[in-house]
Amino acid sequence: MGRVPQARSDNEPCSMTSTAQPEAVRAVVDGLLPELHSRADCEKVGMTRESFATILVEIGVKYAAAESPAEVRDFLLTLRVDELALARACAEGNNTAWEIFLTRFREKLYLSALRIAREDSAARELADTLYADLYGTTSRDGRRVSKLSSYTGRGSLEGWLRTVLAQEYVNRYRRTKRLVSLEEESDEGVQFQAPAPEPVVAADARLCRATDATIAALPADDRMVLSSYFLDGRTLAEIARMLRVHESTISRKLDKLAKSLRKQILADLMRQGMSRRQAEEAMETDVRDMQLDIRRSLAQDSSTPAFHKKTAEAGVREDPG
Amino acid sequence: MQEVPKIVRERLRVVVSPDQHPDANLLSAFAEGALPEREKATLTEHLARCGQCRDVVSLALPESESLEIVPVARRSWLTWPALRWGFALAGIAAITALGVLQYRQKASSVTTAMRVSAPSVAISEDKQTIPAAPASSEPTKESSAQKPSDVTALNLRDDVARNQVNADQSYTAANPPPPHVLERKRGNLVGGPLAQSAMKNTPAPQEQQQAQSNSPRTFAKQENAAGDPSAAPSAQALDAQDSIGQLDAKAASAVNSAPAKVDKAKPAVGGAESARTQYGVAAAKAAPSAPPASISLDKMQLVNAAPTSLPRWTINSGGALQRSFDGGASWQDVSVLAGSAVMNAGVSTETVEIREKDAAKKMMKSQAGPQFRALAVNGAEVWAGGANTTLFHTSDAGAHWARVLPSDAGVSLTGDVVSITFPDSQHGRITTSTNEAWSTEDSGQTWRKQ
Repeated sequence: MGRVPQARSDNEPCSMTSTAQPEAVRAVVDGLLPELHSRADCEKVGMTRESFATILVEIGVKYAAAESPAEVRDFLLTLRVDELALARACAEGNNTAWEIFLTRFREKLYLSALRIAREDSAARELADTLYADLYGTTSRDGRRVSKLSSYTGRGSLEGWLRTVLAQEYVNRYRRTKRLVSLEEESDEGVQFQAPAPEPVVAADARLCRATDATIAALPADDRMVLSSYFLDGRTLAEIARMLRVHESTISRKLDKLAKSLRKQILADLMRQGMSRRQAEEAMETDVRDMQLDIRRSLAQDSSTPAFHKKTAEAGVREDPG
Repeated sequence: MQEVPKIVRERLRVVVSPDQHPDANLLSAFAEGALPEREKATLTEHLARCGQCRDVVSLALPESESLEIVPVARRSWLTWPALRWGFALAGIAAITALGVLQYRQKASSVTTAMRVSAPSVAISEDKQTIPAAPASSEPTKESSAQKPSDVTALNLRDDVARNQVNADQSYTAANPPPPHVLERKRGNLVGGPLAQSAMKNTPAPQEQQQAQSNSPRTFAKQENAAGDPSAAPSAQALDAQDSIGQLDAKAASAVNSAPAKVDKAKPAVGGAESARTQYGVAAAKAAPSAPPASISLDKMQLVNAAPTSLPRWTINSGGALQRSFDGGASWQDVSVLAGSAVMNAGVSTETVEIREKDAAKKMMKSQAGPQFRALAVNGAEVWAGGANTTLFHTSDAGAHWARVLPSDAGVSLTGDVVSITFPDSQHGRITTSTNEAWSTEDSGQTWRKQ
C-alpha cells in the first residue's frame, strides 16, 4: 500500500451533501432570483437570469441539507453570488469576466501559492498549473472544462482558490514521498541514520481495545486536536487557527485530554479485569518496542509527517505500490 | 505540556481514513468559518480522521486569521469594569473628603478667632503678617508713619524661628502683650541686614532686635502694627481690609494705642466671601501714596481660599510657600500656580500679557511647584521669589497670585531670586543668583535692571 489517495475532484458528489427535491429548490430560486441576480451583478459578466437560476438550483440541490423551503432560502442567501457569477462566467469563457478575474485574483493567486510552496519557482509553477486548470485548457465533449465551474460560492472565491492550490500542493508532496532538504535536516537536528532492527512485541489487545474505545468516545474536535498535534506535529498556533480559537484554548484542551485519556484508559483496563498495577504496567509499555502495522498507519495518512515538516521515523518502510 | 500515553498516539494512527473527501468548497468554507454548525461538525469528524484534509485546511487558511481570533483568556480581576469604576469612585470620595476636612479646618480656625472677644492684634508671632495696609484713605500715612521696612527680605533657612515664637498667649486690650513680645514678634518678621535697617525705624527694644537678628527666618511686616503705638494707620488699615476683620482693626488700634497682647494669629474675624473682595480692594488701596499692586484682580483667578485675616508666611525647607492663620500652629501650603496669570512686567503697564507661556505651563505642570527662596510681606501684599526666575505677587494675602517676569529694554531677569525687599508696597528690590539687581518703584509694574 502506499498509494496516496488523491484529493477528491470537485465534480464528484461529496459524501457530506444531501439532496433536496429539485422542484422545491427551483421554486425557492425563482422567488429569490431577482434579488440574487441583482446582487450578483450578472449583467456585468454577461450572465442571463436563466443561466444564473440554473446554477443556483444545482448548488441548492447539491448542498441543501434540509428540504424545508425556508432553509433552502437561507442557504441560498448565504452564497457569495457575485463571485459565483464571476467564476461561472469565466468558466463559460466570458472575456469580460476573465478580465475582472485576472484583475482581482491574479496577484492573489500567486501570493497564495508562494505562501503555500514557500519558494518562488515552486509557487510560480503551482500558480501556473492552477491558472491553466481555471482557464480550461482541456475540453470535454467539445466544451472547455474549467475548474471554476466547480466553485459554488460557499466560501469566498479567494479562499476557494487557496484551497485548490493547497490540494494540488498536498497531492504533489504526498506523491513525491520523502522530500528531504539537507538544510532542513540540520535545522531540525535530525540525523540520517539507518534504522536499527528492534525486537517485535505484540501490544496487549486489551490495551488497544481500551485505547480505541476511549479515543472514539472523544468529540470530533478533540480527536482532531490530538491528531493534529501528536500525529501531524502541528503547533498550537496552527491548530488554533484551524479551529478558530485562541492558542491558549488548544493548550488547555491538550492538557485536559492528556490527563483524562490516561485516567479513562486505566479505568477501562480495570473494567476488563486488570488490576490497577497491571493496567499501569500495560500503559507504560513502550510502543516503540511493539510491532507496528505500517500499512494501517499509512491508511490514516497522518503517519506521514505534514509536508511542511520532516520527521524521520525509525522502521518505516515504503511500499513500492 | 503533559504528554498523552504513547498507546494513544499509536491508536490514532490506525484510524481508517475515509474514502471520500470533502470538496474544496466545503474545506474553504470551513477554513473561513462559513459553514453552519451541522456541516461543520460533519467536516470536523472527517478532519479528525483524515490527515490529508487537515493539511489542506491548514494551508488554505487566510494569512490574517491569526490576528482576528480574539483570545479567550481569563481577564484579570483588575480589568473588571466594575472594579475599575469602584477604584475611581473611591479616589474621588477620598479627594472630596480631604477637601471637606481642609475646609472644616479653616472654618474652625476662623471660628476660633471669632471667639476672641478682645481686640487681638493680627500680628503674627512669627510668620503672620499683620495687615499693615492702611485704610483706603491713609495708606500713605501708614507707610510713612509706620516705620518703613514693614517688609523686608527673608533669609530662609529652616523653621527654627517658628519654634521660637511664643504663639500661645492671647492678649487683649486689658491684657496687652508686653513690649518685648511685641517687639519680638515684629522683629521675627525681618531678617538680615535689611531687616536690621528696618528695625531701626521701629522703636523696638533691644532684645526684640536681638531676637530678630538671631532669627534665621523672619517675615516682614508686622512691625507697623506691632511696633509703633502711634501707627494709627495700622488700625485704619485693618479697618480698611476688614469687613471680616473687625477684630483685626481693634487689635491694631489696641496695638497702636498700647501694647496689646499679640494674638497667636488666629484669624481675627471670620471672613465672608464678600469680604475678600473688599479686603483685596482695601489692600490694594492701602499702599501708601501709591496705587496698590499693579496686578488687577480681574487678571487673577482664585487659587487659594480667601483669607479672612492676614496670615503668617513662611517658606519651608523644601522651598514651598506656606501660610498660617493660627499664629504658626498649623501651616498650609499655598499654590501659586493654578490659575495664576503671568505678568510681563516692564512691557506694558496697562495690560497684562502672557509671556513665556511654555515656562509657566511647565511650572504649572510640575508636581513639585516652584521652589521659593525669598519672601517679602507687606500686609496683604506678598512677594515670593525663587528658582528659575520665579517671582509671584499677591495683593490679597494669597487668594490670587500673578507671576511677574521683570524685564528692562528687552532684557529679562535671569537666575534664581534670592532676596526681595519691599520697604513699601511701591518700592522694591530683588537680587538674583546671577548677581542681578532689579528695582521697581511702581509696585512691580515696571522694573529696572541695576
